Amino acid sequence: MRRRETTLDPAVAAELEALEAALAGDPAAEPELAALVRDVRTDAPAMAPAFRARLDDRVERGFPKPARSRPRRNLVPALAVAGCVLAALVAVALVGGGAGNDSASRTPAVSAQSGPEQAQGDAAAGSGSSGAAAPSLAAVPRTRRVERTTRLALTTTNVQRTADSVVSATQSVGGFVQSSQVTTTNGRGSASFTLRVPSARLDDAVARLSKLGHVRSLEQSAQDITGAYDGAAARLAEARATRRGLLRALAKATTAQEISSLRARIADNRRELQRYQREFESVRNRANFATVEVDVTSSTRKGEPVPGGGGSWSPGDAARDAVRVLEVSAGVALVGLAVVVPLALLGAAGGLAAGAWRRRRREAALHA
Amino acid sequence: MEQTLTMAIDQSPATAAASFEALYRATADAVYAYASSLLRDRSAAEEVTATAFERAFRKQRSFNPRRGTQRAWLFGIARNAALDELRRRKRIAALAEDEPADDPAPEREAEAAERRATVRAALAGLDPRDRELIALKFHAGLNNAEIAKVLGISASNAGTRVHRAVTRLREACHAPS
Repeated sequence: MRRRETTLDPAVAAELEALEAALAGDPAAEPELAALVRDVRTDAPAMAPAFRARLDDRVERGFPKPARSRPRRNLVPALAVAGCVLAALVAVALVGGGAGNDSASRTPAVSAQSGPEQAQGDAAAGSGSSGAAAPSLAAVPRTRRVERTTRLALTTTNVQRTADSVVSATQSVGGFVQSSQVTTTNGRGSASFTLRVPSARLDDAVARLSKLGHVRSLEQSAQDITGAYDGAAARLAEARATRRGLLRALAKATTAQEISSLRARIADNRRELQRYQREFESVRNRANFATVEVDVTSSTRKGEPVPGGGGSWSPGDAARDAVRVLEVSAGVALVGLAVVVPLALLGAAGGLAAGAWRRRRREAALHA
Repeated sequence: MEQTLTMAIDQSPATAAASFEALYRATADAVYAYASSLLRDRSAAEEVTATAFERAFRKQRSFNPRRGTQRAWLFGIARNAALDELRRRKRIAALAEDEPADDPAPEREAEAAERRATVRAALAGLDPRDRELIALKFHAGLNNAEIAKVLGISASNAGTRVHRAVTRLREACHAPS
């Protein structure tokens, strides 16, 4: 704080100069002032020799402190650590909450809305996948037949490479590409696939496909087709039994009319049997092979993971991770400052107020 | 009277101890005289003097030469200790009676003794703030800038107050008893 300086009155300045001369012992000093200085100094209070000796001793020994019964602990470091921990917790909570959507989409759980209850229902179906527990086919009773469908949307920086990887991943789990459409220009564009993978390896297939790009969405549904399966199987079995009966009757037929009639019925039965066979195989395929629809689109952000790398950690990934670490660190520091700065300002204001109050009380003592 | 003492902030402990002892040797009498003038009580002055030097010893590293001289820093500490003591005691004991007994006069002339008695009475009758200024100027030997640092005022204001205090002291000395 800069104090306001004012110039001294010339007369006052002159008298102060005379006083300084007297204090300095100048022979030319004003005699009355010199005498006053001499008298005041001669009359100056002097220390008692005993006190002087005690004080000398204390100074020589460096003012030893009396032993404390309990050492006073400095709470500042502990408070600082506690503040940092609090700031870190707040930062982690904030960062974790803010990045939750992103991390969830980048590391999708192989999940579905349907659970065992839905799988055992007659018409269970659903869409959406976020946060749902992944249903395992092993959890479905063997007597139940479930048709599964998964829709997976990926973004990537290189659509062509990702498309190739989709085919490889499908074949690696024993599936096949039912249909595909790929449109690319310089690695950008879009691709869509309809894949058929063994239901028993659906989870594995989705996990492999999810690693090929940034997962934008994942939807899984399940529909119980046990009734349709059993119905088709029963109709097929009945047609086969009818055929066996007709063949036995034909073997026992003796008249031409009877034989002709039986052959006509056997021909009808053969067509019926073929239809029921196709129907049964269709239902069985629906249960044994899950449908996976994959949409791949170009990533608009440079920060998207490079597909086709099989999840390998590249220098680019390292750079992105480093940036992320710096972002989180900066966030933690910012939250820490948000906590510490107001406290410091409050403390400083309180310190200033306490200092002013203490000074005022001290000065008041002189007025007593 | 005024001495130049330096105490580097980042000196070694041994050097710091030697520097502090030099400061103590050079200023102990002045600090005691200042405290006595302010408190008008021998035991209180001794306590404040000891407290001031102990605080200064503990706060050696807080001294910053750029903010004033070491003497001004020390007398600032002594002043705070004295004012704390004044506030605590809520009284100002008379010192005038026992002070001359410990201060044998070098001369026995009646005229000189009478003059000192007059000055002593004038000092005792001064306002405590004026008496403090007289002590800082005459006993401690501080210049106006140092007094300004001790009191927390401007140098010109300190000069004005010193001039006023000395004028009052001279008037009190000339006043009929």
